[in-house]
Order: sequence, then C-alpha cells, then structure tokens
Amino acid sequence: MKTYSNDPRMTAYILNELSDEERKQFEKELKSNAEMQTELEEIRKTMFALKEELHAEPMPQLSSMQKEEIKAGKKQKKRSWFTIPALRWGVPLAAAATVLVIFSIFYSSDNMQKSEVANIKGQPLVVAKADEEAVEYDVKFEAKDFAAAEQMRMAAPSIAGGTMAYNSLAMAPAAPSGYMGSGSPSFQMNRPDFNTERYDLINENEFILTSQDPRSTFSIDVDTASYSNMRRFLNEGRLPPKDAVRIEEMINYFSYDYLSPTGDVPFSVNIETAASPWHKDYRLVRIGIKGKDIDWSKRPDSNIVFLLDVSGSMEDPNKLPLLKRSVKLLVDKMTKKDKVAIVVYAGASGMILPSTSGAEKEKILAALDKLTAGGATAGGEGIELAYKIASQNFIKGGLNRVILATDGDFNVGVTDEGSLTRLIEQKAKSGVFLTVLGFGMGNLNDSTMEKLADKGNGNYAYIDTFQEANKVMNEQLSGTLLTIAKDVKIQIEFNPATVQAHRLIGYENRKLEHQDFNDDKKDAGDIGAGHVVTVLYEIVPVGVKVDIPGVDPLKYQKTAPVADTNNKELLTLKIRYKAPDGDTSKLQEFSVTDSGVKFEDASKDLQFAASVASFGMLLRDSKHKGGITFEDVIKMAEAGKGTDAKGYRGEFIRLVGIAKDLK
Amino acid sequence: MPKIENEKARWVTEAVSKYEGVLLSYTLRLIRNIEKAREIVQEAFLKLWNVKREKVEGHLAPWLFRVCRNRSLDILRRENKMELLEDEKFMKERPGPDVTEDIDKRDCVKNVRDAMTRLSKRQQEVLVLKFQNDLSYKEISQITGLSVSNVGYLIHEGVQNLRKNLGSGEEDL
Repeated sequence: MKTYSNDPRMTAYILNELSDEERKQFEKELKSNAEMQTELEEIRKTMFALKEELHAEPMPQLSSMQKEEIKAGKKQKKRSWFTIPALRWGVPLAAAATVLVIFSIFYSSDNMQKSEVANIKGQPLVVAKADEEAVEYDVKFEAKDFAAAEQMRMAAPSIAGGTMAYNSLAMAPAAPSGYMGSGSPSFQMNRPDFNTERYDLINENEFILTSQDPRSTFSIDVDTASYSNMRRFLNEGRLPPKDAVRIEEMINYFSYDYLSPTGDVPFSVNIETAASPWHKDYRLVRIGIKGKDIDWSKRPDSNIVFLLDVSGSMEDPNKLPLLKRSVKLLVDKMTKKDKVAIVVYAGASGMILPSTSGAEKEKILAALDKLTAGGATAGGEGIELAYKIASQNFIKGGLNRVILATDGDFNVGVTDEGSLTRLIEQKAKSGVFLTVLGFGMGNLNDSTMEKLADKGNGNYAYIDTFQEANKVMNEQLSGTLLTIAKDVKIQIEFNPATVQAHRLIGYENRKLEHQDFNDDKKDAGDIGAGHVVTVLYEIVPVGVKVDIPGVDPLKYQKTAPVADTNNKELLTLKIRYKAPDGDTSKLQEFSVTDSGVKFEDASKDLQFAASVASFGMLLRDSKHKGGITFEDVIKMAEAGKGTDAKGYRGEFIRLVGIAKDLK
Repeated sequence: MPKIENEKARWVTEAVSKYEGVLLSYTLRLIRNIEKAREIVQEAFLKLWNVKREKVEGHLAPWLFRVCRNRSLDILRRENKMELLEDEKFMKERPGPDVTEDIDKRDCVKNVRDAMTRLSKRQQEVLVLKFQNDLSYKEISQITGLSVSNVGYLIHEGVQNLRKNLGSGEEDL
C-alpha cells in the first residue's frame, strides 16, 4: 500500500521543511525504496511547473494615485465614491417596499395625437441615492506590531442590504484581471488584457433620405442584457465597451405605461411624437408595443429544461451561486402544472434531474444544491441533451422551453459560433423556445448568447445581481417564459412630403431586408407576456436643412412620382406577427401624424426613453448626439422619472452619474 | 522631522515595489474584486507607516500578507461570503456519485492554471504563498492562522491533487 503518497513528509522534504531528525529518518526510508524515489521525482516536477506558472503570472498594480497616497502616508480626503464601487450601492432599491401604482394613459391606434397622461395614483417610493451610502473610508491608524496584527480592524462603509452589493471580477485564480481598453482614464491601463469578453461590432444607423429609401424594416427585440451588462461595468467603475451598448436593449429594460391590448391581438401599439432633444427642428417618433399580460397562475402547463453551465469558469460568486439562487426563484413558482429537468454541461454533459413535477420542489432544489463548478465547457453536447429531454416531454399547446444559463464560455465541443447557432436554429424548429441567461464576466460571450437567443426563438437577459435575477425570474417571469407573439417584424414607410430623412435608433443588428417583412420563413423576435418594446426614430422634417450625402440621379429611370402633398401623415407602420405555435403571420397597420408637441410637453415615458437613448449615444460617442451632455441626460431622466415604483429609473440616473465621472 | 519621514517613505515605497504585485495577486484570489483588492493592499502599506520598522523588519512579507488576509476576511464575513474560504468543509461534504464527478474524470485539463482552479480554496491559498512567494511553513502558518503541520498537510495534498489533475489530461490524450 502506497502510504507515502499521502505522506506530507514527501513535499516537506523537497521544501526543506523537515527537522534534521525527521530528514535523516526520511532519507533512510528513501534509500531502499525505488517507488518512493519515483514518486518524489514526480512531485518535484509538479512543484516546478507550479512555481513556473505562478512566477510567470502577470501581476496587477496599484493605481498611481494610490501609490502617491502611500508615499504621503495618508489618503486624500475626498475619494470619488465610484472607486470603491461594489461597497457603495447598498440596496435600498431592492429592499424597499413595493408600491401600488395605477396608471391610465389614453392612446388611440389610428389617431396618434399628443398623449395624455392621466391620473397616477399611488405613493412615490423613497429611493436612497447612492450618495447617501458614500461613506468616507475612514482608516484608523494604530501602532501595532506584528503579533497584534490580527486585531486590526478598520471602519468600513456600511453595506446596506445584500442583494446588489457584490460585483466581483470573475477570473481563473491564476490570472489577474484585465481591463477592457475603452476609455477609463482614471484607472491605470498598462496591463495586458485578460478579459475574454466578446461583443459584436455595431455600425450605428445613419440618417437615411426618404427619397433614397422610404422604408425601414427590422425585427423587434426584447432582450435587456445590454443594460444590465452596462450596469455591471459602471458599478465596477469602468465604462462599457462601445459594442456592448445596444441602445434598444437599454431602452427596453424599462417598463413604460402603454395601454394594454384588448381583443384578439396579443399586443397593443402606442405611438407618440415630440421634438428631438438632440437637434433643433428634428422630431422624435416613439413606437411602443405592449404585450398582453398573462398572470403566471393562468399559464399553460409547462415543460422546462434547465441547461446549466457548471464549468470551472462558473465558480465565482457572481456566477454559479447567483445562478442557483436565480433558478430557485423560478422553481419556487412551479406547481404540478410544470415539469422541470436539469441538465449540466462541463467537459461532458449530464442530466442531473430527469423531468420532475414542479410539485416536488424539494427534489428539484436538492439537485440544484449539489451543483459545483469544475471542468471545461462543452456547450454543444449539453444543448443536444437539453432539447432531447424537452422534446421527450413536449406539451402540445403548452410552454416548452430550454433555459440556458452560462457565462458564455463555449470552449470545448461545438466551438465555432456558426455550428452552435445552426444547431440552435434547428432545435428551435421543434417548437421548444429558449431563454439565455448570462452570468459573470471575463468570459461573457455576449455576441454568441445574443445570437443563440435570436436563432432559438428566445430572449437573452444578463444577470449581474440578485436584484436582476429577481426581475427576470420572478417579477417578469411571465414575460421571460411565456411567448405571446412570435416572429414580430416592423416595417415603416415614411412620407417624403413630410419626412426628409429618418434614423432608427438602435436595432442595428435587428435590421431586415425590406422583402423579409412579408416572408414568413424569415425569423424575427418574439414578445413575451406583458413585455413592452419601444422603438425610437429621429426624423428630419421637410424644409429643415440637412447635410446627408445623396446619390446621383438615375440615368435609366425617371425620378419617382412626387408624393401627394395633401397627405400630412408622417408614416405608416406595419407590424407582422405569428401566434406562438403558428406559422402564418398576421398584419396590423397604423398611420401617424405629427402632434407638433415640444419635448418638454411630451409624456414622461417618452422623455425618459429619450434620456436612455441619449445615454447610449454618449457611451458610444455617437455622432448623432448633437450637443447633449451627461448633465442633460440626468435632467431629462429626472423629468421623465415619474413614480418609478421599482426604483429602476432612479438607478439609471445614478449610473449616468458614474459614467459622467468616468469620462 | 523630514529626514526620518523621508527614510520611512523610502522604506515603504521600496516595500510597495517589491510586494505590490504578489500582494495584489494573493488578495485578489481571496476577495475576487480588483478594486477592493487594491484598497486592501493600499491600506496594508499605509498601515506600515504606523508600525515601528524594527518590529517588522525581517518578517515584512508575512506581516503584509497577514494584514491583507485579515482585511479580506473582514469584508467577506460582512458580505456573508465566508464560504469562499471555508469550503474545505463544503468540499468534503459533497454528496456521492453525481455527474460532476464523472465530468472530472473525463476532463482534459490543459494546464496548471486550470488545474489550480479545481483545488479547494485553502489549498490554492497555501500553494500560492509557498510557490509564488517562497514563504516557509512557519510564515504561512503565521499568515493563515493554521498550524504548521496543517500547512504541510495542505501543501502536500494540494500538490498531489494538482498532479492528479494534470495527469488525467495526459492520459486522455
């Protein structure tokens, strides 16, 4: 029996930690034992490799300001509160009581005029601002020697609540954090970049002359990941990379008070116009789509398969532990109408819980609790298995969904994005929908996750905090899981008599070819129960001077017929959608006339949405931002804040403040 | 007196350039947040100002690590994240045959870095202290509060596990 393999003297001997006596004794045993010698050599080799690795590891550094302070022997009094990010944002927002707010807003779908915001009942929620939490980091200096070092305590900022406080940088232990290079001048950026986050390039939409192209066609998007991802960066004191900023997702993070749909159509369309806050004389058109609310208790029977990434990279506290908590939120709402299965993937995939009735919560939660992180990721195999189980337990007319939770690190198996997305596309045809939940950072493969959700008839949310988990898996659970309309596309025709040029804000990677609009075979986004989707256009009215490059007139074709100048409509909006299990789209049509309203007189919701768009444009350094500043954004958001029952808008204003200081 | 101040400033600054990287590396493993880690390490150096040089000379490194560790644990405790360090117990209590164990066996670990992540937090900590910072068992014991023999045991276990994790990859290839 190999007792020496468990003998700590082996390593101690190599490290010279044995006393003289112990060493003599050990060497005596070693002399005649060849196996022991071999084992010793193996251990030596491992130690050498370990030592090499640890010494080769690039080391983080203190900031130069910090070093100055050390040299001076004391910290400067006023520290910008954002440099100690995670400790600041107590969480009065999440801990605060819920408030009942009742709105009614009048719109009519065929006669878009100035919106009237009617009675808003309820009490405003007091939201503690971050500044109140900003405590001076009061370091008590005490003369103590080494022996007493254990008793050293320092006054630390109080951390109120628990849900939002912890934002950590996830990384494999041996790699120090890197920074995304994009503009954070207050931090030292001289270290190599170990983050492996990936974002799709966004080519911002330009103004298009109506004479060149009177149409705008795109797929709706209900994903909100970009907002929470951006929030995660800012809460850590960094600006998000430009390509991580998808303006439509930021605007859609918030709820707006559009009229609920009535009748057969599963959503309502609400349109408002006002002046543009970015260019004098330009106008804004805001289209708001609200999906039918379905109470969770009225849901159809459901068949859910969790597909959880438990690879080594998921180890950090803001990944697997947060994931487990998030999933538990959902499991809590399950009943015997539901079936839940859990598949994990890491190196190999395995089903750790067969499809189990939602009534057996204990069993499901127990399986969840057992999960630990370890291994490399093989997302492809896991996906196959998850969809197989979902298909095996398919409920006709019910809710069938795979919920994929990961940090996007698809490193082994079906590696290339193309194969992965094709796989998902194929699986989507089975009628099983997909929700993608992103966690953590460093390996956040935002681009892949968004595409998967897109191709998989699904939605993508990024869970940076428990509060967000609560929003996605609890408050808005119906929206997350219950699809009420599939393949929703929008096509707008602008009237050249009134609109000289138009610009779609955001939705850059949602654009469709004009002919795709009527092509039912072309996939588009889905709307969940209660979801609210907002689209903003900035338009240049006829008669306003504009500097947009045009094209030469055609040689072989006469110029297009002149528009009917009697028709003062701005545009006609067409929207196509399918029932969740249907294949043929239905069409709705609306026309819009400008209300002539000034920006300040527009609804609070429009003002707020515009402030979010402005913020996005500033973060992306958009050339269309006009003269707008972060200050302006804050003012706009304050004006549009309204009651803000859940405090999300207040949080937004705070984030703008952080970004302002970072720029 | 300016002269003494300057001496001290020089001493502290030297300590900074010598230990900044390894302290940050170490603290980062505990606290998992670069900004917090920086705060903690900076404070350790600031503390150095108020300590008599003679009292720490000779064991400056263990002293600095100790301070960083204590502060990190304070914060983790406050945020109820103690499981990050206490998972020895958690690791032992991991229930029986489950898929994750099968996954481990079939897994091909590519390098030391990956292999490290599969060790317990305590093992990782002592391995870093020993092999990145060349501290003795006794110094590690002073920093972590573990007994010297416990340290020896953890290091041995850690190295053996590392060897096993690295080895399994090669077999599969």
